Amino acid sequence: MESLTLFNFSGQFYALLGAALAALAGIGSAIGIGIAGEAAAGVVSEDPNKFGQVLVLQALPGTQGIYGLLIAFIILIKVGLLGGDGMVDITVSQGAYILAAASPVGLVGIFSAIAQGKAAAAGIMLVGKKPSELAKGMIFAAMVETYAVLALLISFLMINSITF
Amino acid sequence: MGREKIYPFAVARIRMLENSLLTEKTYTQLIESKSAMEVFKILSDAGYGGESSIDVKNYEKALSNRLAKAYSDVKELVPKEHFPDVFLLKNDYQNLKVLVKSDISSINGENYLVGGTTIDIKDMKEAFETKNYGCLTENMAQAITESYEQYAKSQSGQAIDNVMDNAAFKDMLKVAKESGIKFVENYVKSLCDITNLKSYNRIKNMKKTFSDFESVFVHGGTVSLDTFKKAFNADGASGGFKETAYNDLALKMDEGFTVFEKSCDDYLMAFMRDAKYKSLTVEPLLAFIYAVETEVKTVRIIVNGKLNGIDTEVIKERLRDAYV
Repeated sequence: MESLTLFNFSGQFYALLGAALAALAGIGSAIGIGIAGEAAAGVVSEDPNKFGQVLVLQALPGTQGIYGLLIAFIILIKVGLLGGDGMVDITVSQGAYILAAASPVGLVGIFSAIAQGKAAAAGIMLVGKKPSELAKGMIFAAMVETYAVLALLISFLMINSITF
Repeated sequence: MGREKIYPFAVARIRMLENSLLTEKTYTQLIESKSAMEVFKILSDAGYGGESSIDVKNYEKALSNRLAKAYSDVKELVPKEHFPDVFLLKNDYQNLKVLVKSDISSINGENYLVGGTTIDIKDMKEAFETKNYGCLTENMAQAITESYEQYAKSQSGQAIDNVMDNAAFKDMLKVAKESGIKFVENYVKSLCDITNLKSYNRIKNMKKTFSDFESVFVHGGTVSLDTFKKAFNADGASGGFKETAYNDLALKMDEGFTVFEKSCDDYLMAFMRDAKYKSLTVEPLLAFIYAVETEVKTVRIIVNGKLNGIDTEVIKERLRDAYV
């Protein structure tokens, strides 16, 4: 059937798709850091001395992208793409396992980083008004991190338990 | 996920500018100062008047500069948006009133023209003199023609004010609707209702008739003329608003004129204070303009009170709630 042959990719393709999906968490990080960066510029435009403080907050939504990168690397190592010996043979279902395992860190990463960017922007404004409350602003933004970490954990556990 | 537009830079900058707003503590200092000179000194220290120090001669200028700066700060932050105009339009219409009235009375009203407008005063004057209303809004052009007609009929300056006020609210509502921002729309509607409630209270106090109220009623609010009519005919001034959102506010009418006028401003300030908990959307920008407007109003009350040797307690009663 036509529709079946359309999806008649190899297992290796699905594995790479998984790695790509994990790396997409970077989209969220970029948006999140962008939002926080705009807010940071707003604060610095009035008080350039706050640069150091707001920079810490701006960087917080960046972690999701790093988690995505980490999972993508693990997948690439697992399928032998980074070993130098060429990709190992994997079945379609093994490839699909990897794709499924990568999805938590990719999807949760995108949305949590955007949400974290907003929380970080609010924290940056908090620092603008009350510079001594930097730590509290960081905690509020860092709370969002929990869910990115949970997704990373699940993705990691799943990939680790897939055997070829 | 919200579909509202977000303005992280603008809001963050406004939050920083909010640091320059006078605080409750400064107000207390101002009220308790012994003389107007002391008031001017505190204001200078708080950044009013920029480089030059403030005195009796230039304090009005310093106050209007403060307002103009707030308007332009917000406008600069959101150059593509028109919603700050809901605050500026009233100044446009104030100028139109001045122009029409000075034309009719042939008294030069130059001193009564105010800044902080959507249309440059020079352009407006030129449009007015050449009768070429291209740069004005449709409602403004209509209001000019209509105010002359109404004046010809009634020979009263009040008629001009009524026409202009109604047109002002029409324009404000239009801007608010076009912005698509609920907060702006609700603000204009509340402002409309509050304006009507104030006129209602004044007319009731002056023991005038309902038709007098009808002539100053501005359209666009949530409280209908019908509700006012029922309230007007009921016993007591304040009882007829139970089914509206303004019942608590209306009850203040019984506590006297000054208390009610202050409560009206405080009601709008309470509305604006919601913006304190918005971190990315547009509300804080509007609230900032309102906060500065209120600040200037409050400072003016204090300065005038001190200049005229009015008792500290009396001034205190009239103070508006501050934003911060």
